Parts: sequence; C-alpha cells; structure tokens
Amino acid sequence: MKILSIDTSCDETAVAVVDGRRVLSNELYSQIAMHTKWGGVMPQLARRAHEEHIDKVVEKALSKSDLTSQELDAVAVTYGPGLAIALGVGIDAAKKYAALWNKPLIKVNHMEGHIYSCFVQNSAGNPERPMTFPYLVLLASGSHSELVLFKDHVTYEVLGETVDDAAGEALDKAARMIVDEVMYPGGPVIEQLALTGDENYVKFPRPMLHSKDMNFSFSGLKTSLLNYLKKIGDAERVKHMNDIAASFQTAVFDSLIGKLEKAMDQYGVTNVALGGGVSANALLRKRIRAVVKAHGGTAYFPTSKKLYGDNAAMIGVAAHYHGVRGDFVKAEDIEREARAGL
Amino acid sequence: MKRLFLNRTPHVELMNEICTALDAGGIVVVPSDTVYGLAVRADSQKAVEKLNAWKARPAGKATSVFVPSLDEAERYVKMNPLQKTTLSHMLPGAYTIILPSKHTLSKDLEAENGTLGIRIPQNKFISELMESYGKPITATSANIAGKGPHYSVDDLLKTLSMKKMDMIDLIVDAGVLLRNKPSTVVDMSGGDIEILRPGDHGIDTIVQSESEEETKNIAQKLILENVGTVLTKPLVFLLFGDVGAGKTQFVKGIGESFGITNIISPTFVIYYEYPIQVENSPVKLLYHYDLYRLQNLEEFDHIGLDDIFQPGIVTCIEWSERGGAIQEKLTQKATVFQVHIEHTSETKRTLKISKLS
Repeated sequence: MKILSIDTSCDETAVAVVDGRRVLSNELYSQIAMHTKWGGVMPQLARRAHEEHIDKVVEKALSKSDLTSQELDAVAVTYGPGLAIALGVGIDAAKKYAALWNKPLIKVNHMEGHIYSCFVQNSAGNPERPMTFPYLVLLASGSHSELVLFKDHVTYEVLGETVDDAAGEALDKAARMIVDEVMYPGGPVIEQLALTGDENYVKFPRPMLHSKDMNFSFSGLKTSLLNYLKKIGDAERVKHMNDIAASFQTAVFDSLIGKLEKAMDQYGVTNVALGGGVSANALLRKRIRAVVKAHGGTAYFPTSKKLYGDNAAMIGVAAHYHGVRGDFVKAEDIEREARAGL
Repeated sequence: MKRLFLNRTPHVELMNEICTALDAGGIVVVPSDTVYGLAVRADSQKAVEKLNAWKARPAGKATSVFVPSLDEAERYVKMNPLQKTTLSHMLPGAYTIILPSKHTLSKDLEAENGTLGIRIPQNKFISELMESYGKPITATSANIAGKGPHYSVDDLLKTLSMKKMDMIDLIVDAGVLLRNKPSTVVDMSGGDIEILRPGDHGIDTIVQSESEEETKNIAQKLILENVGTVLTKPLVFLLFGDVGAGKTQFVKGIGESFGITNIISPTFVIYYEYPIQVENSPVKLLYHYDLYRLQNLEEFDHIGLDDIFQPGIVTCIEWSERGGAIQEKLTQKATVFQVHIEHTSETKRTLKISKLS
C-alpha cells in the first residue's frame, strides 16, 4: 500500500511516504537544536513548532516521493505513546489530509514503528531481509525500555517493560551526574567517555537481573550512581569520568541483555531485533550481535541511521501491515494516548 | 572581568582568587543557596558604595551580609542570650535575620531604622568562602534593582551592559542553580520574632519511609484525605528531592489510588497524562510532570501548565526546585502541597509535607 505517515510523538515533526516496506521519502523537521538550548523538549514549544512545520513537511515528503496525493492508499498517524499535546498536532493533521484527499486513516502505535524500523527498505527494496516470525524485539530509548515478542505482522506480546526509568533516560541522567554539566542528550556523551574507560572500575548493581519477570528498572541504578559519586567526591569523579561512565553503561547494558537472553531461552526465539534511540550505541549493537550469535540466531538493527531515532518511515511500514489487514479507523475514533501500550 | 568555574578550578586557587578580589574592594559574582549573588567586603565603605552604584539602588535600602558564624555575627549585631540560643537552632539555614546593628560595618548596609540583616546559609561554597575569607561579605542578588534574580551566569551576563560587566572583577560560575526560594526573612530587632517574607519553611508533617511501598502508602493517605477538594479546585503536589529520592514512587502511590498502575518516569517528554477510568471518581485526570530538564525562567511559559487549572485534575510535579517561579501562580488557582523527600540513609527517606495557602 502507498501510505503517507505522520509522527509527532515528541520533538520531531516527521512525515514519510512508503510503498509497502519501501520508503519513497522520509522527511524530518527536528526540534532537537531548538531544545538543546533548553536542555530538553518543551511541551508548548513542541506543539507550536509541530503546528508551524507539519504542513511544510507533509508537502516536502509528498513531493520527494514522486507520488500525487491521489495515488496514496491511506494516511497513517502515531496516536501514542508520547507527549500528549504534540501527538494531538499530528493526529489533527492526519485527519485533515485524510478528509482533504478522501483517504482512509490508519492509527499506529509509536513502539510498533520502532519494531518495524529493522525491516524498513530503501526505495530500491534493500535490504531484502525477508520476515520470518517470530522475533524477540528489544526497544530502548529515552522514554522506553520494552521486550516484545513479535509473533506475526502487527501482532505483539509485551514480555517486559520498565517499571520506572527508561534505559536511555538512565544514561542521559548519568551523563549529567558524571560530567556535572547540563546537556541533552547525554547518552552519546556516556558512549564517548566509556570508549576509554574501564567498565570494571565500579561495581554497580544489575537491577532486576534476578527477578523472575522480564521487567526492567533503572531507578535504583541511578541512586547507586548518586551514592557512589557522593562518596568519592569531586576530584575522584573528574579523574575517573571515563571509568565511571563505562561501568554505568555496562550495568545498563547487562540488565537489557540479561533479560533478552532470559527471553530467548524461555521462548526459544533466537532472532532478535533492536529498536529505539539507544540502538545508536555501537557497543550495545556489538554485544547484542555476539549474544544472539552464541544462541545461534541473527540480530537485526534499524536499516539506516535515520531509523534509530523517531521517524515516520517506520510508522508508514507498520501502517502498511495494518492496511493490508483492513485495520482502518474513523477520524472520530483516533484519540491521543500518551501512555498507549502495544 | 575574570570567570572561574567552580567545579573545574582547584579549591585553593579559587579561594585565593576570590579573597584577593574581595580584599581589593572588588565585586565578585558568587553562587549561593538561592540565586547568584554579588559579594563585596562588608567592612569597606568604598566597596559597598561601588556595589550600590552597580545595582543602581536607591539610598536607604538595606543589604544583608553573610557571616562565618553566630559568634562572629555578635561583632556586627546586638543579640541577647535567648535570641542567640534560638538562632543556634535555626542557623545555618535559609534565613535572613534582622537585628539591631552595632554599626561596625558600612552604614550603607543598614536599614533606615539602624538594623542589619545577617545570613549563615547551609551552602557548601559559601561556608568554604566564609572559612577562607573570615570576614563578612554582602549577600545580595546579582541583578539591577527592580529586576529578577538569575539562576545562571549566562542569564545574568545577557542582561548587562559593557560598563556593568567591567565593574565586575570576578565571576564564580557554578552552572545552573536549583530554584530554591529566597530566604525567609525574620525580624528579631524588636525582641519578638516576626516573619517579613516566608521562604521554604513551614512544614506541617514529617514522616519516615523505609521502603518504596511505604512512600507509596504515604502518598495514598495524603490523596485520600484531600480528594474531596478536587471537586471544586485542582490539586497539585510539588515534589522536591534528589535523584533517587523516590519522587516517582510517590506519584505511583497517587496513581494507584485511582487504578493507574503503569506510571513511569516522564523525564523524556516532560509530562504524561493519565485519564482516570474509575466510576464516580472526583478525579478525572492525573498529570505527571517532571521539570528535570528545565533551566530558564522563560521556559515556564512553555510547559503547558495552564491545562491543569481545572477541577477534577490532580497534578504531580517532580523537580519542583526548578519551578520556583510558578509556585505563586499555582497557589492562586489550586490546592498545593509541597512534598520534600530527603535521603536519611541509603534505604530510609524523610518526607516533609506542607500545604501552601
């Protein structure tokens, strides 16, 4: 199906046009630069920026796709989870264009978009990557940590999720504590510092690793970092920033990978996909590749850098599989759901 | 104008630089427990005149002073033994104490009625500076008279002319300060204790929590006691506390009272909204804000708080330290509780709860 998809779940105004799994255009207006000045996303600012840019981004995505609006089969939009008032802008725009072009609407959960990010193809249909179910999917971003059993197209079972902070959030906050400066995002700073650090320098706990469920928790780890930094004092902190960052990052990754391995064993599924902003971390991808290989499976990552973070191409591909099943919704039945689950 | 970064300058070097600048009668911008302040030596008439010129302050406006200790304070203000005992329980702390001056410091620091305000804050940097310098320095916010205070050096510098910048001799940059309220001003000069400006004090309840479950239970008890008021007025919980204090646990407790069991940290998106499905509940919507990422005063116009001013809405705001500027607006339109959660030990927490009127 040929679909125009919109995602405004947080600070990216994203619009794409897809044809099945193939991406014809994938446009993004990012507010990150604007928000970096503020240290993070500002809800009202985000809404205003989305409102200001959405029409232009739609126009650009459509024009780059070389399709006319009449050639589209549907309009798709993210309904959640995310920042409520930002989601609202995308939903209103999708309703407007669906009515204007007389196309059916498809609503997509932002997290299923991240799941499909590993299976998005370029306009030439590469990579081919045939889909053979089931997959275990680890989603890790600034606002999410989830372990999902991807049973078939648009069919998911959430095996575990964070009960407090997301993995990306833990890394962001750790960066601020370790470097002692306000920054956003902090995850890449931790990754950079960790490159030259000793991951065994501090023994941080591995939260929830021995719990019976598949849930994650990073709040306690954050507290133990705080207690550790208080104990060693500023001079030691400055001297060992890279070692502390490496140790903390490893603790986060051990928790993620520990639960992933547990799920692989328990469900006998060895094909693994990774999605969300934290998948941009090269060390995490390397470690997951090794673990999955040891279990005799294959690890899949988002097919291009543009697909790690938020984007609308992944939403379009997920929408395609809803569309072929006839999962269309009436405009009045789409409501924003800030904490929507899969 | 020299700028030194608090966390990147060796302690001895930093203190030497500041003491040298102060001794020479210079103006030093320093971080305090509340906002960025202007420090000059309080025993130099010339230095105080320079300060007042910088601030463009009308004559007769008093300026309080940081002093190293209560014993030291007795050299500058008169206090009787009872007052001294009372003060020994309050200080160090976020108070400015007004007492009759002994006129040993610059007269321009005193109020027209001959009183002087003294401060002994609970602040690591100021305590260390007092210890190194040993003499009183001025404690006034680093802004031109009539303008708002600053929580970061960059914010301050943006507002200054070249001339004003040149008048500053040294800046100690500690990054973005937490949005603590200004100190509570207590006038003891008449013998009684009179509060001229309330600060962060006035705690109604202090409870101990030894686990996450207990923190949740305390939150549930508090919401149940106050749920009736939501029918007519929105209810707001301002949460204060360090990383890992249990602020999100507190909100989970509030949520569970209304059948919401999927609360997670909203740091990344600033807030989550949770529609409440329980039938006949007076509360229809729960907002969970986290101001962790906010830095500047102007940002408060952009976080969408206007949405919460309706009956039937309960709002929890984490990192309220950063929202000092909005507290006044909130208390006008909502029932507001302040909840300070402090680490007593690695597992124990103290919750200080106060209702703002």
